[in-house]
Amino acid sequence: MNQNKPTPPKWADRFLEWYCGDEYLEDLQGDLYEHFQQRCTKSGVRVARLVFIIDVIRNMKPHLFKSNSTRQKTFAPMFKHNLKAVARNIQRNKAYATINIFGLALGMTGTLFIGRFVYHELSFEDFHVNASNIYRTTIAYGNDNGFDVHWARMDEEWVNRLTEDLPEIKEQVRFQNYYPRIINVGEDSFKEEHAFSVDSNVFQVFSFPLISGNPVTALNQPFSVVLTESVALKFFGESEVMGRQIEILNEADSSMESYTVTGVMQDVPSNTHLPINLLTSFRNPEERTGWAYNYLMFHKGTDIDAVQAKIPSLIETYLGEDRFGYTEVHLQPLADIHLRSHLAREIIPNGDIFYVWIFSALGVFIILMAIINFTNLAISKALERTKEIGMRKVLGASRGALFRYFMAESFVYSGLASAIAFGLLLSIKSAFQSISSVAFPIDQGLFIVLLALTVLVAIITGIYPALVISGFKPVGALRGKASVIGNPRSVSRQLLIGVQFVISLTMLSCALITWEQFDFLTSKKLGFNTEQVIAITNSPQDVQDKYETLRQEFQKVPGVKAITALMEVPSREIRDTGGVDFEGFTEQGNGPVLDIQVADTNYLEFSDMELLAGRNFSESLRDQGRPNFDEPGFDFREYVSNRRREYILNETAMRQLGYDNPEEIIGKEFAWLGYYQLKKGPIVGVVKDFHQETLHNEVDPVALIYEPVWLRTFLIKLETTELSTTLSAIEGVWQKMFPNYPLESAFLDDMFNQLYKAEQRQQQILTIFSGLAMFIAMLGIFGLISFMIQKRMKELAIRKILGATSQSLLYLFGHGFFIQAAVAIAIASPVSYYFMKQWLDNFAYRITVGAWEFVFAFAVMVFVLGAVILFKVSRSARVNPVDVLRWE
Amino acid sequence: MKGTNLGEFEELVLLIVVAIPDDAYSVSIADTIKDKTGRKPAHSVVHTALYRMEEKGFVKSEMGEATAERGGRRKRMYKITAAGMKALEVSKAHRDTFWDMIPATRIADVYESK
Repeated sequence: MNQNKPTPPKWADRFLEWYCGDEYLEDLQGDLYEHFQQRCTKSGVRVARLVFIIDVIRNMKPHLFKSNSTRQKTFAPMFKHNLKAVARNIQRNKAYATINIFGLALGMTGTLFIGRFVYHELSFEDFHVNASNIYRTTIAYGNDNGFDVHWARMDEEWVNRLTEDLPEIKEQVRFQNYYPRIINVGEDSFKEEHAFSVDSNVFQVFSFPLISGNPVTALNQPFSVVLTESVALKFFGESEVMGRQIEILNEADSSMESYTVTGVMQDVPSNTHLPINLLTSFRNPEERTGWAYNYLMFHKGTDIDAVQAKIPSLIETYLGEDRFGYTEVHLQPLADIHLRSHLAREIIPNGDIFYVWIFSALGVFIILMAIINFTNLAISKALERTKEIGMRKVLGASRGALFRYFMAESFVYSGLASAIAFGLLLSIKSAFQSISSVAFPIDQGLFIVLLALTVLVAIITGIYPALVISGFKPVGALRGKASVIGNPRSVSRQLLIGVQFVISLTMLSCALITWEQFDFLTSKKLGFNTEQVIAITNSPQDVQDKYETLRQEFQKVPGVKAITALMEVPSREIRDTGGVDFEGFTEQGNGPVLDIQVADTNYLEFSDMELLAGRNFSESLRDQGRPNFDEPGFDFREYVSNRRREYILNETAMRQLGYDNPEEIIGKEFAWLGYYQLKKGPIVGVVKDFHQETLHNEVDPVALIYEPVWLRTFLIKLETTELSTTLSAIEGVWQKMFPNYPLESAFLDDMFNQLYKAEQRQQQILTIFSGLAMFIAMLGIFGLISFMIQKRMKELAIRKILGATSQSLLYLFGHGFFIQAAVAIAIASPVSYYFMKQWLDNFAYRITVGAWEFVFAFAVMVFVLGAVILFKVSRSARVNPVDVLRWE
Repeated sequence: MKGTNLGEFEELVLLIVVAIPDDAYSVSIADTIKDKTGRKPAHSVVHTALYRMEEKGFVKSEMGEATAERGGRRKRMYKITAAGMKALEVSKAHRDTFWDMIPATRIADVYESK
């Protein structure tokens, strides 16, 4: 054909050649070419090409198909035959089939669960249409003395001016009031977490769809509130609540303020760091200041690095040279918040990309082990089937046909396994949900993944045995000489078993180490007593003001041992830090930075804290009483800086102030200078270090003071008997005094354990999966040993006749595996040591990894291995040798 | 064998096969239909009709000459068979029978009654 002539689309032409039988191809193709040329001259090449494609498709009539090709003639019958042969094989070798299918099913189940978890972790914030343009501003403070904090939220007045200074910013949204808010709906009283006050453009920036209400205007009036659907149901019992009223406590003056519902939003999905329950508009501009999570949406295509580079100079203009050492503001991409940031004061705890990797690896390993089992067993099995295969070859089966036969087999196994896996999924779904707190929906996506996994597993499991077995030489196969391939000592198969051992030993020793660390965390002494103590947190101002009365009332309740009050509840980080005025350290920034904790005068006895030197607060501090806020001209700053103070330090604080002997620092004059400047007073005591937070963190230097205004957490110590009566009596007292506010209390040790939820989860998951890995590995070993023994039944019988003991038989069959296990532990130990070292580095207080974890893992492995082999060997050894030897 | 009656479109194609005896293949037949009746049958429709009639034994085919615009592919030329001719005649006879039953005045009536 002429080069310049237009041609029909190649692929359509090829498609035609593919489906059309030879008999009709020539004239049909000719017709279409001719038609195409006519079209070209008449309507142009483009139309002609299109018509050609349509013609090719419309000509797809059955009578034109390659009905006579061998492929079509033999495919269906061969497929049927293969299926039948596979089914018979399964029937004949039930144990073998069970091991294979069950192992694969377990592997698939594990992989699916892990896949779901990893997918959920990676999907954070991906439902926000603007996700790639949204950044959160985070703030870091530090000084030369090692003060270094990086916070997710910030209290900087000037961030509100950023929109003017940076034209790249399209929208700004502040999320504030992160404390739980007290809400009254009619007679009912609720305490809602994640009830933020936000800018009205929140729905333009974040993709939180509204069920009712206008996303643009819902929050542009003061005293408007948008509820999520489930909160609406909780409040009103229905979701049609537009225009209804709720009352929200104003913490500043303890009044209840009325808000109108202007929108109902869909419940927020679990893959966001903003687990909103309700959103209110700002009631006045003043509310739009103070601590807030601050989000900026940039115009599309903004160069963020360039914007980030402008920020330091802006900070300098706003704050002057140095305020507190250094201040840095970072723009953090929305998508990075969940997995790639480790900032203080997040709304909910973050995940970690490190764990996502670890868990992904777990998922791959589990399925890999199941696949290895299949491969190993299939090849061993081939030994028995050499005659069958030889016969098939003699009768004319091509290598391709045999290959297809074995692939069909692995497809059947994989299909059955995935069906079982699906059943397993359904039955342990809720357990998964409670461990991982990730929902596991049974949806279309799951079926697609399951199908893909089935095919993938079938191909991977099938391909190696299919290639090896289909390559048998027919004559050798018929004479039973294919044993070279089935030799359990072949290098590649030893390697496969070795890999399984390494994986299961690694997982087992990691699980042991996490278990040990977890035990260490939960049992380590915190430095104060948490037993039988309940904490009442997040009390409204109103309640805080009446602490003295409440104390007296509670004291009357039988079963209450003692009551005290604090600023920050133990288990939660102290949020206030400041510099000191002490022996030459005067300027903020040149001395150590101390946390401040406010405690009632009886706190030290209450919590059994140990005084290293000095004494407790003097009771006379109490005599100063509470200030009168309503007095005209009352200035809070002045009030706090004029109060008489006594300071108690912890050991760390003492050392940072340059003292080693607690006795020496007693009586020295000291002042804490934070956001408020406190009056100078004597250091009256030094206490042993205590852990305010988790053992992730080092003990921070802390100064304790007494200040009635700042006591907002109440701790009550209870008798061990009649707990429930005491608790309901406490509830009763509270209800009588504060009918408007729900009582929020929790046991202090529970609150601490709550902090280790992530660790607990990691430990549980590792334990489960190391157990699973071990099980799959042993399943494989079990199958292999069975075949080995079956092969060597005669040998076994003769040995028995000649007087072999069970031990010697165990050694005979097992020593290879034990050697492999020994090699595996040598590889697994450094690998798990490396990973666990990284994991343990997250903790300021951690166990040291010794040798015993690995020895123990190895011992477990050897024990299970021995048990499996022994079981198999002793069962075979019980067979009467005559039965075996008679047949030849 | 399937039914041996002649569909309306098949009859049209078959008539053309007889009408252009030396050049009857699917493209030319489609062109003729278009020229004479204004109908624009898709290629596959003509092709299928010819295939069906070959199955019924009304036409027979043999490979003809190749042309450049067909990419060197030969044409499948169709010829009517005796059975095909017979079928055409039967079909025409049936129609004629009924036409003969219709007086000219009745046709005029149909138009006027409208």
